[in-house]
Amino acid sequence: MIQRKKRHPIMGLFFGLLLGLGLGLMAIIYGIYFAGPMTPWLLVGLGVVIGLVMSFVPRPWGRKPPPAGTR
Amino acid sequence: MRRVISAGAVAATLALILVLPVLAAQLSGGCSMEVRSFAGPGATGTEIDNAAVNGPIPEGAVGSQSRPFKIDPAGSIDFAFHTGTSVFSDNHWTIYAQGLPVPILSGFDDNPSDVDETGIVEIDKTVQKLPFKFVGTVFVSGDLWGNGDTLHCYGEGYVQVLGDPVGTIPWDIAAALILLSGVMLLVATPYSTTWETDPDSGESLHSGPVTNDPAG
Repeated sequence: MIQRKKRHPIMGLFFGLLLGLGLGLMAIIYGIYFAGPMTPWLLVGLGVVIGLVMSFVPRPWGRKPPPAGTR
Repeated sequence: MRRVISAGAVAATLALILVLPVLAAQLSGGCSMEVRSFAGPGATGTEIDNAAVNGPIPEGAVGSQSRPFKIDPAGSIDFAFHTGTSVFSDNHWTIYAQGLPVPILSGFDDNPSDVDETGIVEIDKTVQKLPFKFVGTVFVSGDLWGNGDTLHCYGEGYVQVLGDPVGTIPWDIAAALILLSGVMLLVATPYSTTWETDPDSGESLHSGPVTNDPAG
């Protein structure tokens, strides 16, 4: 038996973009401009990066153990 | 090579974070402006905020990042804009929000009579054009060109629309986006593992399988 890893970078990109848009919108709403006028756009980029990184991080739950009798 | 690219990206991000706040908030090109915001229409009611801008806006002054110019969404703004000693003939102007290249307002004046422009902006009429209530702080910038684009004034600063943002459509959308994408990033995005039968299993020695011969 061999272990296969299935990654989801497109899904990570998409949901990271949504996360960044949400964070950027909140920055505008609450006036958080720690990086100047580009702050909302930086947060959008940060969300995309987070999403891509998340697509390469294994989740600790729902992982199938190797079948019994194999190593 | 990857390390060089990563280091470059980190350096560029840090440079943006450190430099951009310094660049923000100013009125350049010899122009100046006085502005006062009110809680009611037609420059009536309680005064909310006021500012006089000429040149760079230091941090902490009205219009800067830490102290945005405050306006009431149901109020008005009384302004006087001065172009110094030059009359900006055949002028055109544009105002942008959040650095987006698409202007939110624009206009022109072919024959301005003097170096002063005054007026009252009714915020409630502008806000009513929006399909939703907006509360927040917006980075606004604008250009004024005149005399065949030989004269130019540039201004930028932060404007805060007062009010409680919770429950407004932008706040609901932002909260929903963060919640939904956060859950999806945790549940659906990380890579999953499966166990499959090795298609190359069952291989043996090139010289043939070893038989367990009890006589040998």
